[in-house]
Amino acid sequence: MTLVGRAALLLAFAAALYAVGAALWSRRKGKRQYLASAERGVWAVFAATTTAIVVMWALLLGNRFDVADVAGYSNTTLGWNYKITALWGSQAGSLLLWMWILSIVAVLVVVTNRRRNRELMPVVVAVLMGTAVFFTSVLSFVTSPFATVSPVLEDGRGLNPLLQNAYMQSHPPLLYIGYVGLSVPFAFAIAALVTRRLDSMWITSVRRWIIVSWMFLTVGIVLGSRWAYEELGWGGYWAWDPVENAALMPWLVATAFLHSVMVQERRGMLRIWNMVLVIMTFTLALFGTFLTRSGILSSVHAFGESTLGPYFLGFIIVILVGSFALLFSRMSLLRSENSLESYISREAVFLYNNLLLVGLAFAVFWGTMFPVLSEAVQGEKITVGQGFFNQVAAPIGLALLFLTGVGPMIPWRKASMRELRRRFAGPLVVATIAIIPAVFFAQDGGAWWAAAAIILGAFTLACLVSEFWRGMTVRHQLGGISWIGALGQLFTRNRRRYGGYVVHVGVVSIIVAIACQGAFSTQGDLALRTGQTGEVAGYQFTNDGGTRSKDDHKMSVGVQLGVSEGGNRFATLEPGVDVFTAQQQRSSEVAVDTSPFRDVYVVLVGLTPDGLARISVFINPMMMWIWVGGLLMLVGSLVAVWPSRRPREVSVPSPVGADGRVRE
Amino acid sequence: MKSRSRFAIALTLAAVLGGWLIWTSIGGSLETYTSPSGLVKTSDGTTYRLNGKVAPGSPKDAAERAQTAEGLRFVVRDKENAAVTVPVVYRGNVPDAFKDGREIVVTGRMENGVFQADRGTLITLCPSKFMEEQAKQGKEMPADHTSKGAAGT
Repeated sequence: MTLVGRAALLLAFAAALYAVGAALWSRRKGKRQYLASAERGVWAVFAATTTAIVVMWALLLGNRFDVADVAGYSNTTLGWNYKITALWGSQAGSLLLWMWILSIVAVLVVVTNRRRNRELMPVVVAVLMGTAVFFTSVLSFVTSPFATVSPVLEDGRGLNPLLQNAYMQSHPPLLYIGYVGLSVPFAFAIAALVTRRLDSMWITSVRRWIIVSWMFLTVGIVLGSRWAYEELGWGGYWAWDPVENAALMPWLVATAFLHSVMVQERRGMLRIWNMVLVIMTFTLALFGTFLTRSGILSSVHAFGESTLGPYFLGFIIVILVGSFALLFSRMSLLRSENSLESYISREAVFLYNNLLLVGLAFAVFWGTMFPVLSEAVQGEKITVGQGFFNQVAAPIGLALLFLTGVGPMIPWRKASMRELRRRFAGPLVVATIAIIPAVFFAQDGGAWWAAAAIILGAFTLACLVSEFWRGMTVRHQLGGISWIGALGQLFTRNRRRYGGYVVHVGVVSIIVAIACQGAFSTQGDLALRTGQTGEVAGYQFTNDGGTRSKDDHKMSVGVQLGVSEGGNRFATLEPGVDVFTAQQQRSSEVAVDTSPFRDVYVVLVGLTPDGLARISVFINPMMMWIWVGGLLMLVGSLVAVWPSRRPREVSVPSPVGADGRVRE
Repeated sequence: MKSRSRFAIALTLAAVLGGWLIWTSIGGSLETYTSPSGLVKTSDGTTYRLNGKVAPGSPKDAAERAQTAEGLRFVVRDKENAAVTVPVVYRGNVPDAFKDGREIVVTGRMENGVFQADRGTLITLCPSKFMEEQAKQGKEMPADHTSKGAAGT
């Protein structure tokens, strides 16, 4: 079986190598037919990689403990669903997953571009398959998922209990889909550079890929935070750990790219900048994998030092140097068609948004890599605390929040003062009203960041609502349609725009929630005997008695906590701790009572035999809105990418005018 | 040309502002990453991020002790040289993965020969290269690589 797997990976490697060669060869005169052959090579890579991953799953399900990654991450008592997801518990397994997603993505690109972009496709295929060559070679020659061990263990070591939940089943593949999806815009950008077809066509072709990849990254990051919040029992959800930063950096740059492509589509500007962004996005996606795998930074998540680091670094350098050299050689073809006419215009706002997002990504990169840099320069490893990240992210996040509302309201090219006054009058009134409660809340504790977030959040929300209102009024009055019908029409007729607004509402929700949680969360420890009551931040907690149980794998303790506020008992929480006997591993089961205004989050630290329960209590205001915001961002992205019923621009060879501008 | 130079000025301003933001923020949050052997055993007030392994004999009820006024007392030993150790006092949240032999990072300062850890800074790391370790020791090691934080795989 392991032989089949290894052979399949070698086959995938060979097929990918062939596809690169054939695709590049097809660019020669009279060798056009080789492109079809290269595309069949893409299918072969997909088939071989699928075989490899199916074999790996069969090994996991068949308890083949002679395979290192099965022995290391599974055991006989593990449920079948966790056996399947144990694949991405191991390093080689997660790289195999990455490679499999890449092969699926490549096939999708081939299928959707059978009649489109034929001049670009040779290079697109070559870039995607070049990436596949790298991953299959690593999987074949450096770290194989099919490596065996001897002596063979009788039973595997099992999957870390912390990974045995739905979040960890879904979060890694979602992130990977996002990462890998970003290789498509990159491939099209390189193809546009190589073939000198530098109009906006490559951007139009990958618009949907960008949004979908971004959506998966977003959901992946939000689910990762949710996992940290619910499973790790420290009351928080984000710690600026290198691995979290590794996922955030490509997300930030991808967000910048998502916005700046619109400027290129509409105004033919920022063309070099967009190339830089797409190269950076893909490189950061690879860099993220490098960070998690190389062990150059001590992270709570890293798999430890592995031999992979130099390979990844080499690949990243090749990509960076190659892409920028190519970009440099095409610089003269990338002149901007228009120049910025006013600093108060849609394109200017997009530019500010880009500077802020890339600036934040740069600061995060700097903070993450500081220990490595300082060790290289000074010989002393100096790390940067969470305080740095929070201090930088707070002002930038608030500025972004402001632009989220302002951007869509400002017309392209140039805004007249009269127009601005008319559009922003309402939102400004709302923001002014919001000052009162915001200042009231912020007074105790001097949480001015949170106050600013609330005011700006109200302003931005009002902007977004007024945008919807404007669109609806027009349709209602001109089309004679009902209000609800008008709202529906906004979404069906202009999906990208109004889907984007829904995403923006999600952003408001998340930023305001983060600010409030950061400023107003309180924590307290209690030690309660049965029947005793303690208080944290105005909430009373009563120990109603503990429970103990024991089975084959674990010992569990729990405690019943009555939670009340002002004499009114509103919840009974049951936090617990499981101790897994085989590994002597603790696993806290936190209990949370959620309401729109706050989470009451309780961790059982320990329960002594004589009934003394030690608990940690966290009161996290507005927590729910982080998850609601994530959901809105997902829904909004789905609206934006959902295929319209009207066949729009699809069969037309190019929606781009002679001047390179998109006609709408 | 005028708009171009204006643009250059605006960009420079943004860069300066960003640089200033990074510079002022980084100042207060620097910590030296070190092992027990690298620790300067004087109370000079330097903030360290101490990295090492939990020496055998750490309390079984570590999480509970970390909540008491006395705090959790345990010994961190050097990863390379097991003879070099440093006692640590810690209060706050203890990750589930904390136990003897586990690699940890904790932030704090030396005071009278004891490492006084900051509240809630204890982090556990994954056992690296577990297969080799397993082969060497001939026994099972728990497979995990997570404790506090998010978004990892």
